[in-house]
Amino acid sequence: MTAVDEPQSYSGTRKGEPDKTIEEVWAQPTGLRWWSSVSHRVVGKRFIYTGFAFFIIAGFLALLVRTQLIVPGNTFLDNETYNQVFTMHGTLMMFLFAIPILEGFAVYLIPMMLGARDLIFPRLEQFGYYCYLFGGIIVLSSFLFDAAPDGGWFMYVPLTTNAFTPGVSADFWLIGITFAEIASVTAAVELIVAILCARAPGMSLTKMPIFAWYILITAFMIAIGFPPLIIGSILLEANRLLGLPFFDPTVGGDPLLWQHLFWLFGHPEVYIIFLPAAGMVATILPTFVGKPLFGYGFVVAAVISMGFISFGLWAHHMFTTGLPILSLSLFSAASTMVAVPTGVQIFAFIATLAQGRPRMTTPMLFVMGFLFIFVLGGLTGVMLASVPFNWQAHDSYFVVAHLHYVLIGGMVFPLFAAFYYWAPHITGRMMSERLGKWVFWLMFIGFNATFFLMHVTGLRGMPRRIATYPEGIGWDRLNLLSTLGSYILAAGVALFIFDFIRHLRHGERAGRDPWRAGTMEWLYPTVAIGFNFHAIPPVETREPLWNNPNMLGKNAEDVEGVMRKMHDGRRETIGCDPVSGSPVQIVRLPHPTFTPMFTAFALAVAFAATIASAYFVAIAGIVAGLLGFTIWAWEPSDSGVTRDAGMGYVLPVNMIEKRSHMHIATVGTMLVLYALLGSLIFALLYLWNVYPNFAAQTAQPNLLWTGLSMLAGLVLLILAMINRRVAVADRIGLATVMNLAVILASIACTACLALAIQRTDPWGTALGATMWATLGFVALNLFITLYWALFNAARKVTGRVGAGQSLPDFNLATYAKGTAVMVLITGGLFLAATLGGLS
Amino acid sequence: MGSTLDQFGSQTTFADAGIGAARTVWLTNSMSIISLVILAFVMLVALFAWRSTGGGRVWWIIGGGIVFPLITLSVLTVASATTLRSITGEAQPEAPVIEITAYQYWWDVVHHSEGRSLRDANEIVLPLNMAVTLQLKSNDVIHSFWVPSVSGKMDMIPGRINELTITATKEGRFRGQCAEFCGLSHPLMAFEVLVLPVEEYAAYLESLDEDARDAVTPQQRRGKEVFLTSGCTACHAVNGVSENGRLGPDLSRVGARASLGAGMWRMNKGNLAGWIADVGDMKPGAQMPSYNDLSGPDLRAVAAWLESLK
Amino acid sequence: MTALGRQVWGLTIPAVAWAAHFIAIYALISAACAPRGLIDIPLMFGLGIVATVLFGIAALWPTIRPPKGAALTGAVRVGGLIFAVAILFDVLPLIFSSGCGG
Repeated sequence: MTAVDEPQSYSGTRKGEPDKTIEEVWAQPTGLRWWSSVSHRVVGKRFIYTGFAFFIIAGFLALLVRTQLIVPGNTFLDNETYNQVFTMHGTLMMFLFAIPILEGFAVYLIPMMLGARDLIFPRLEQFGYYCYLFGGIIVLSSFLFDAAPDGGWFMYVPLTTNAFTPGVSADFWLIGITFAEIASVTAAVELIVAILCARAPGMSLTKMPIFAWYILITAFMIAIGFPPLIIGSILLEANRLLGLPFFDPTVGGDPLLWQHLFWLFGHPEVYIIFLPAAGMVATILPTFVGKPLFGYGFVVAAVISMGFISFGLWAHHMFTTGLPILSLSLFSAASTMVAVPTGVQIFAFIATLAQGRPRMTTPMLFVMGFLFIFVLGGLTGVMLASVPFNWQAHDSYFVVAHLHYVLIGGMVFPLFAAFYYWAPHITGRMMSERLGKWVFWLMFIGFNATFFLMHVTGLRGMPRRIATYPEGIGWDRLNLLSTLGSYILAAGVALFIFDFIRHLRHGERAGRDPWRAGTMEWLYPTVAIGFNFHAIPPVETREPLWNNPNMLGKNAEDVEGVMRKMHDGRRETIGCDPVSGSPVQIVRLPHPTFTPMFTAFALAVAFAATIASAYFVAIAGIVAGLLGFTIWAWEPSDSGVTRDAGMGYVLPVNMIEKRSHMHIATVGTMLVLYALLGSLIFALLYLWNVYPNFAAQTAQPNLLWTGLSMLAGLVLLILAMINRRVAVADRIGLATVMNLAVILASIACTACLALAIQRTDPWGTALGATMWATLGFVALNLFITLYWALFNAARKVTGRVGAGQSLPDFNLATYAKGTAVMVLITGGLFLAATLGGLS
Repeated sequence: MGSTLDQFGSQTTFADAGIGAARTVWLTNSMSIISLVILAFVMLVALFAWRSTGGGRVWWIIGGGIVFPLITLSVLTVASATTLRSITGEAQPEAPVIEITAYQYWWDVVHHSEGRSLRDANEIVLPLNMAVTLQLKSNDVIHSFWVPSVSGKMDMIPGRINELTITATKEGRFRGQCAEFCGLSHPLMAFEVLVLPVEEYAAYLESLDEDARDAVTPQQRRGKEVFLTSGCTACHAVNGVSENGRLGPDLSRVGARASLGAGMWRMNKGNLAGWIADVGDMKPGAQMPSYNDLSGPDLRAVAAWLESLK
Repeated sequence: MTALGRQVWGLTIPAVAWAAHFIAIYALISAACAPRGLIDIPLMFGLGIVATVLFGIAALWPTIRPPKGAALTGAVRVGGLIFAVAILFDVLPLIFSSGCGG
């Protein structure tokens, strides 16, 4: 790779503006162009505000539910409306509020806490936001069409198949939510890479703020935990649109397959919701104690173990489905012991509290509220892990009580602490301490009044999800009190909204580090400048603002650090080694653009058209989306030069090696794709193992074509490796040829796999349908490989790739290798089916 | 809707009316008490932690986060497993089998006794102190069989037969309810469990095998005639009258049940008439059409006849 | 390998060991108890014990021999311990049951 020093000429997305100051280059676009902003601060706030809006809507739906249940035999809502209302309450809260708002805080805070000017893929984050917004709008719009989903937020089959839910309500859920989930998955990859690759000099993994560890683990959990739901939703939608019988027992399908796939997602999901909030507590608590988090290492260990172990609990939602007792015992034991890493975190927080009397500000009140409510919720969770108890409490109001204790205690209370804590950072003004105490007590008392009694209600036999109940069974007074409690809780939230609006104009100005916190987002006086740091300071401890006199002792813009000088009139930040945090590259960042929004909009059109059965429009939308991605990626490469980052570091720009942020993102994406494939393989093995009779009726794959597909996969693997080597050696012509070879190999793989199962009827058995679904997924990856190779070849042929700019081929090779291994795995499974027989 | 509680013993999990329920209650109570104690402990420690004088904080984390949970969780796991074994452990190959199939939104009940299949609906009669094996199925979507006072629940999943062995230990009438969201009238899908001493249970089985009671009064005879000519027999069977309709609940003993509409309304002539004329309003989504074009006298006649089928 | 790198491995190996163990136990139970009946109970039991010993040692390794020079030694040891406890809890049902029906 040759190093060049003169600035290169650019085309496509906005050229560098070497004549402007750093402030001007980073300036926010104004007017309508504000929607094209890619700044993490703006996009993060968008997530937070939009998430809060969904919170209010879903909360209002909850009030409708409680009002209907205030007296027995109430006719405030009819059954149909009630079913839509409770389904949408859960759906909006879980998918359109909880994760997006936490994501918003992560997106907003992580770069500043870690010492970066922006997130590492700002356009991806904008794209994610618009997918979320448009997906959320699609889901909400179902109310307008009187087609709001009404199958419960976990949409069990067969109730949600066409036979029992004709019409489009289930499709709104399946398609709208899957679309919104794209935001979560892209944010996950983004955050993994940002946390690993864009930290301040010297910020090793063990010196990161604890919040970054929480978000890193959460992001990995999202990458692996969302795919089962995505696969399940696609299978169910394919069942509804095409009649593919994945869940139909008459042809070897199983309603429990949906449940397994859903809960493989659903259980990690609730920890995905809990962990960022616990990370907020771990950040806020030390500030008000005035001492660092005690037991940082223990907490890291606990968070990692919770992240992994939470994937082994899912069937505790299925204890009453008739699974073998041995299986239940496994999940019962596993669910019980997850209290250990949870307890380690709780006691680390308590040990932190032992270091000094905390200042009881409003955020601290919410932290104490979190402790009380979440611990109680966790304890009832351990109760529910007991199988005999679960057989009584499952699907009763006891579970409703438990889930709200852990979700509201474990996420909403920390969230409100975060609102009060970071409001000065976002708006520059303090919220009212006096009103804050009212908000806390109204919410705390209201919450407990609503939900504590539900433990009793459930044990008195009231099932969940019932629009009404008969008089005199023993639930009347309990429901009345719960409803009154919910109004108190709502009053607290309303008061919060009032205070928030009020403080925008009348709140006391915050100044610099108003809470005397130790983490770097408070370096600048609020509201900090848009590009976060004039110079990114090196870091030696976990609480830089407490320990480093270089920080608060000076004006923020005078703090010494790297990247003070702007290069080539471009936005950029420092890139680091993932483990040690030492600077290794300069990461170029994009300027504002509408391309991601356009791409998200195209996909929204495609999804909405699918719901409306307007398939040509849907295809047009997908094509437009593909066009959007192409335009997005067509920009010239920034690699191939080095620049002086200051403080003695002369670094390559967008370096080409395995630690490159682009490469790690590709690996992160492969993780998601393998989780998707893994979910399909789970489905295959499940159906094969549980319905051997129907497996025997499924046509065996063709031995010859199966063998050829594995050969083709091997060829693709080798070609990908050669492609990378050739590209990195700057042999541009040869690399183009290798791109074309990869294209041909991808086509060959697809054809061979399809021919291998040509005799399998996708409508014949559920196993056959799943084999075709697996093929479809692998074929999608092969198509992406093909398209990417075509794209790379086109860029080289049109002269847009120079020496030392082989990053796209470097990454394509990783993707192609991953896809090739998918072909080998799938071919291997088909081979096993042919040889061992499906019978 | 009127109180149903006075018709049924209870729907609470604390009634100890069956082995499953009774043996779980102590677990419920002890876990609840221990949970509250732990919560109180954690909160007290959290609120007063700042008063502690230096040192040894690592042991708080190890002790509170690892050692203490391990001890309590191990005890809990053993207690829980023991309870589970005591509820499910004893295999009962001789136990009578009752096949219950859930429909949207009612329960088809078939007692298998001495080679006979004896059909009833919405009311499940059980022998006192004798284990019974329920074979739980579904005709359409997932439902769940739950009679809290007697036993924990078990889902009813299409394509699967789930077995639940229950032993009722108290006489009386208990209310159960579908516990898995199953559609529009999920809240209106309940059932009765009637626990009788063994001899009375045997007598009940015999009554299922016999023809339904004869129509006696002119009104009842008129009612039976309306039943036969209005299309009711396409879905409903009455022993000795018409036995081919199996799409809906068996009505041979409908008048003997305490409730109508699957555990929802008191069984009497008025409710029967209202049900037949307007089932779509009382139970949205029910498969039965509303017979609102029957004349007033005919409607009352059918109701009278059905009520007489005890 | 740097001290920091060793530490990262120390955090990751127990996690991967736990994941492999869980998948093994789940697969063994499914293989023995599902209608296909691929293996019988004694084999399930035997392979389960083998998996537990293998992966249990892997999980406990950093706790017994923590990586040298790491800043988060406590983290590594506690992490390994938590995963080892998880492995133990996961295999308990296998040990104390008499078959698929518990």
